[in-house]
Amino acid sequence: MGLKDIFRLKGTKVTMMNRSYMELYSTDEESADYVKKLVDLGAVIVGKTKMTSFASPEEPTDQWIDFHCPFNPRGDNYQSPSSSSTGAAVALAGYSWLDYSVAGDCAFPQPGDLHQN
Amino acid sequence: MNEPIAGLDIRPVVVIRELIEEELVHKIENLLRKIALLDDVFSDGFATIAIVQTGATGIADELVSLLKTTGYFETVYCSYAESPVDVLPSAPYFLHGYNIHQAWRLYPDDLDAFICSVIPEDVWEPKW
Repeated sequence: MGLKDIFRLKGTKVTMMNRSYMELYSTDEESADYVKKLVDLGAVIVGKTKMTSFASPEEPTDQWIDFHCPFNPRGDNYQSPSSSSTGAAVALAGYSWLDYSVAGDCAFPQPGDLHQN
Repeated sequence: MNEPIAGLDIRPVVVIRELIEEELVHKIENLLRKIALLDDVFSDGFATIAIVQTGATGIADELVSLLKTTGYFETVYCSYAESPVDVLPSAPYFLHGYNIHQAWRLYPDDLDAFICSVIPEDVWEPKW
């Protein structure tokens, strides 16, 4: 299972796909409640997938500042893979060996977000 | 382990969970086929050395002898787990000295989808 790098996973550092954020925060000592549930159910996390910085609506290539945008497995690999759970979608679509890919809605939900999405 | 592996070689092995009945030895081909089907790590290279792991004493030597007669493996070892609960699942592993290590298959991230890869520290009791 891939995990969008917006979820805390014990022993790793959430990057929020932003270098300044990474400099401010250290390795997570506890996983997010949702991740705990997944692990308790037997999920094997294989990696953290890329997203747009702070799960914002960014498009490649000039809006991906700190990290490179994943390649869309469709077509000639140069279609935009959209956002914000870019790596999660790319990995699930592109890799037959990945069983599940956890994505997320947004980093800091506000009232009305769920309604809009 | 009855016979220690010499040196610091890392050997691919297949661990076979305790076979509690003799007839199961003759079904070893089915077990290997099942492992090959379900386990993405397994390849023919792991089926050269077999380790029968058991949580009990007294029956392992017979099982090892029986397994050797099947001719599927070049070498068969026996490993005793601390208790029946600690017996490893039948699967491919790496053997290094006296220790059996978990084996993970590496996949290329050609699409650059991951920011980092992780493996669990303890599969039996994941710490979160």
